[in-house]
Amino acid sequence: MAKSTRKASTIKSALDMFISQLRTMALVLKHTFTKADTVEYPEQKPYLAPRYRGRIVLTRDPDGEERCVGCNLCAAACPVDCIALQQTIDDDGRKRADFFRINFSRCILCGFCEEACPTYAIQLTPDVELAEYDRQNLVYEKQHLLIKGVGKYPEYSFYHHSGIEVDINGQRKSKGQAVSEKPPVDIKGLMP
Amino acid sequence: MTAQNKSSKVTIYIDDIPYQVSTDNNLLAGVLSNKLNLPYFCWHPSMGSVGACRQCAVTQYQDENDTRGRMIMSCMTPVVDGMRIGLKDSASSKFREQIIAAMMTNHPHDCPVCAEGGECHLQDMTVITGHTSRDYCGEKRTFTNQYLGELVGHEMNRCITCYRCVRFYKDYAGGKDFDVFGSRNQVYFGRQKEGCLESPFSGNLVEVCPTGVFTNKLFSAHYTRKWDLQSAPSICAHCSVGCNTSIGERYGSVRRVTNRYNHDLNGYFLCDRGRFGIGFVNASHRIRTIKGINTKAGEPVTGAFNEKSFTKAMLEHNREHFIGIGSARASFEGNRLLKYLVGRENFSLGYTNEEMKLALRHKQLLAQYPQQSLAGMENLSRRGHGELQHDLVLIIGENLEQTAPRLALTIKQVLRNSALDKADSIGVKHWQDAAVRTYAGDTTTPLFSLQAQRTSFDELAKGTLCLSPDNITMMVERLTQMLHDDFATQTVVPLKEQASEKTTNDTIDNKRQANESLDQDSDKFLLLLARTLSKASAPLIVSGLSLKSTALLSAIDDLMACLSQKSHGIAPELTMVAPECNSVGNLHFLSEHSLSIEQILARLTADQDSTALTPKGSKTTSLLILEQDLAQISAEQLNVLREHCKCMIVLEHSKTRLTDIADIVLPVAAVSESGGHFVNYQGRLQAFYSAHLPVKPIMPNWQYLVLLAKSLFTHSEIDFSNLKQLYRFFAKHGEPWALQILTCDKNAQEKRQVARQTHRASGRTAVMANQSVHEVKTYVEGKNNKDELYAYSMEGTRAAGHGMPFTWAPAWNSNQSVLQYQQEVNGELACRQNENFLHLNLSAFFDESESHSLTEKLEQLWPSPQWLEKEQNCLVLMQNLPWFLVDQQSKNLPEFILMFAGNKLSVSSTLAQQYDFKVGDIAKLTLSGQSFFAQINLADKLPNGVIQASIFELPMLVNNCTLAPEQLTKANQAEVAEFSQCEELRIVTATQEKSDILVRLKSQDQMIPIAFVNGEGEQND
Repeated sequence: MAKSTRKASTIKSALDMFISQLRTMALVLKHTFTKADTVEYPEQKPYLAPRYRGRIVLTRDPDGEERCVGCNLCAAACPVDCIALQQTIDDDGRKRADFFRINFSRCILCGFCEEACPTYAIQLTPDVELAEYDRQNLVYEKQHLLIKGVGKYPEYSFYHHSGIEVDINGQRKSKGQAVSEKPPVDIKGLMP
Repeated sequence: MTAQNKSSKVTIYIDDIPYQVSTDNNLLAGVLSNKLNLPYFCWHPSMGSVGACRQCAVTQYQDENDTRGRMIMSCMTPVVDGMRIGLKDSASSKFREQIIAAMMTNHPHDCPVCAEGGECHLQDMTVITGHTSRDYCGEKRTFTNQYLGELVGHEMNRCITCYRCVRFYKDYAGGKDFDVFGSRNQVYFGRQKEGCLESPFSGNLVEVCPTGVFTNKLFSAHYTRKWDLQSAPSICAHCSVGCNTSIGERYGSVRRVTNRYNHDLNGYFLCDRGRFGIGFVNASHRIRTIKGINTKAGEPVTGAFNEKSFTKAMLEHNREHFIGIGSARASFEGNRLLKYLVGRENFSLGYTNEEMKLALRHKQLLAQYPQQSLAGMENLSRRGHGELQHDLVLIIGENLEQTAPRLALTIKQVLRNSALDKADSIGVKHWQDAAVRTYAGDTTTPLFSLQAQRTSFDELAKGTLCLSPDNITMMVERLTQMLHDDFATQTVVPLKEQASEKTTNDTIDNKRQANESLDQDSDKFLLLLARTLSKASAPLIVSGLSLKSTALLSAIDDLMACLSQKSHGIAPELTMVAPECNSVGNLHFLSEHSLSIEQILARLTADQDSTALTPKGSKTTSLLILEQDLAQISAEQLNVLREHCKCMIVLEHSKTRLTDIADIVLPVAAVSESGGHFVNYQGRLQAFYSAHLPVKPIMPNWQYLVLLAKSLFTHSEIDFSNLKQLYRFFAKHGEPWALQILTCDKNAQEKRQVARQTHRASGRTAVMANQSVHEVKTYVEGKNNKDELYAYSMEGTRAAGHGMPFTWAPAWNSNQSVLQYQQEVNGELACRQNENFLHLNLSAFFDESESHSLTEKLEQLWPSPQWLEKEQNCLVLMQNLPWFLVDQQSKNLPEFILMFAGNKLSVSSTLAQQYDFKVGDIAKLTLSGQSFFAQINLADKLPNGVIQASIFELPMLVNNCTLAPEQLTKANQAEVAEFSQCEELRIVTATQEKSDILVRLKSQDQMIPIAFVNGEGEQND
């Protein structure tokens, strides 16, 4: 009895294996005629939303001036400490980054820097093509990061709102000329 | 006043939880002492309350059944036993939030570009109150800013009118050129006219201001956030007070100095010389390369440093006999090691004969009269506990604002003692700042000032006398005499009667004759002083070494001896201001074997004379000079020194006249890059630590000395790789100071190393990525540095209390966070260690019982030069340099040079007539072959025969020197032209230097030597 059962089960499993092979071949054959899911990547680009977190850029304000004021908040927010910069004050009163460096070989594209930025200067773009043969090439300096445009926030310009004196479009923005500011107080006036 | 013997603590209930609170201070201080977060603005721990900002409101409940309560301002409320208050109730917390909201209505949108951001008290308080978004949509009021000088920036828009600045500048520090103007929403804090702030304490405005109205200009020019600074606890190296500072570094350059709270010394405030003077470490006159040593290829060693080739190069000086000259601005360790290397017979402190005697007198005074700390003088924290407060201050011959500015600030607080007592008598507590000032008016503790020049204390003084230095000594002697008589007869006898009564007494008579020049004013002054002094219970006598008068020190000694006789019931305190940051430490090394400059010169010339007979080599003696510029010796003496020594090796951090003529210059680390100890005016041994590693070949002085020990000397036992080994070595030799330091360190290093960086330090993986993307090894605890207390890293423990490199507490980013680490407000820091005092005993030098022969012995050892015998109409030159030019290290800082108004020479009108000087004329001063030019000023109260010089080129050490009348002349036309050119050139050079420094530092930011961060610093040549 036991012998015959064993024999039957062996035959059954052999049959199952054979059917499985056929089924696999059928499935493979079937995919030959279905539409491919993969994209021909280098030739064909995938859709990445405008707010996708890719390569970091430094943008300019609508007047074409650098938005970054070198406040160091992005560097402080960065969880991998891959941003280093030094603030400098230029003759036009504006504060800019003397150097601004992002080590993309460390960057995890988390976007914390963008969230921390009080002037909308640092922004993440939907560019993810950051591969390099040489790791050193992943160190981006300010000239590599700074773009000509305003990025995602077309209207904002920090210095129009800030209280400090700077040149805007070559003209001095004095005290009291920023958005919703009263003219400077005449401290020698006698009016109550 | 009622005397209570110990600090009285009572129980109060905050949100129904019982807390122990001291009744000596207000409710706000009590809440903060218990480390609860209660926001405040106008209150300052050391300036008291005025109740201006309404920020510290809490709800007070009648009893436990009261649910409504009433709002009170905690800073204006005294603590009562069993009182119940609420911090968390909705009424008061809503109120506090609305106060912030109101302050923010006009606050500009500046945080990203504001230098205060990240350490802003206003930011902290806004977050604590929970005010998150702006409700106000109206317009903001604005102000125009003022130029307040080279040091402090002004941005009035940010002001929240807490009045702290004017309360500090005007009320606390006694400044006159800064005030508050306008009313209601237009209140303006500034100067009447634009211009440089005159007070030497203006830098404290930066720390006192709760927001960014006042900013540190030097720091802003090369700015970094507080959280990015790598800081180390340090000691100010610009005067003898030894204020605790914190030096901040970023990208390899020192950025700023901030106050580091020390309960005993500086408290919350620094002077501007300490705060801004640190710029010298970045200046272009720093020495960064070795001069005079050639490598194998014959090129000078630059940049790279190789220990082996250095040792080999130094071996050629092996046979020479060395005399070591230490200095009062080098660390204690450096001086000790130098003395050990050359032996005590060959060790000098760079003092002249006169200075040696002066130093010994100083040592004698320090050994006899323990010096009070600044907190001890102010006595504020102990107020009300029955301890004696100073009820009289006598300043003798020391312009404190010039030589020890922080001490001057303390003296100004001591002068408030009687005002505080007066207020206390009607129950107004000391912390009720506005009330005390209103009630007490201009009541001040009597101050007597006996000076050789006009000082800022003159107008606060009850009696002031401006005399020539010799007459000051005479006055002190007469005062002692008067007091002696007074104590004998119970009344103060006017001097004239006294003299007539005792004409038989020869000594008095002689003095009378000598003092004929002294007029009635001085008699009146003396009488008043003697009467007040005999009634005082705890007089404070402040003097110093800047007059360089041994006689004055002996006279003060006599005065103190007379006053402190127990039967009089007077507890006098003496404070001696030392000339430099480690002058008192050097007293430890002074012995009868120590050489003076004259002795060195004599030995050098004698050596040459004896060897000249022998046919072999001519010179055998060389000099090893440690951070010493010998500013007080003349050019001729310097020439002799140079010509007669075989080899001159100078260890120095900045260019001086010695480094120009030296054969070998070894660049040593400045205070920001090296560790060690300084001994302050009290003898307090205080440790400083490096904020960053120096770039080789710059090394700490002891490291160079260790290398030299191997090559120049046969001291194979000197082989230390860190300071701890040095301490162990000297502890083994039985030196108590080393043992003290070791026990102190042992207590401190029970835990891991303390991080020099904050936990928010940024950019670790990017700072050097432009040089190599491969990150450098994080500075970890290794073989070489495991003995160090601090790590160059953000990893490590956080010191809480004593020895914090920087202060930060959760929710408290500003310097106010220090309150979180005090045992109670204004109290000592938590985790406080034992105080380390250097024991100065005279037994090492002579037997104390033989004090009579001391003068003779001194004269025998270090004889006075003959020319000191005074002629009749000779002149006395007094230094009147402004406070920022007094210290040799920081005087070349471009900002300080720009603040200098030009060389001035003040003379009395009679002297001006004698020389036919008019105001504005240029005078020529010839001092030991060198000519100095200065514009003439007339000073009325100046004693005849004294000229006050404020000449940039003339170092502070040249003080109280006698001139022959012909040394002062009128400059001729060519010299006048040259002078004005020189003055202009100095300004132009300083302006250029200022921008050059900035450019150089910025280029350095991106090229941090990688080895430097690795903690190795070793490079191959």
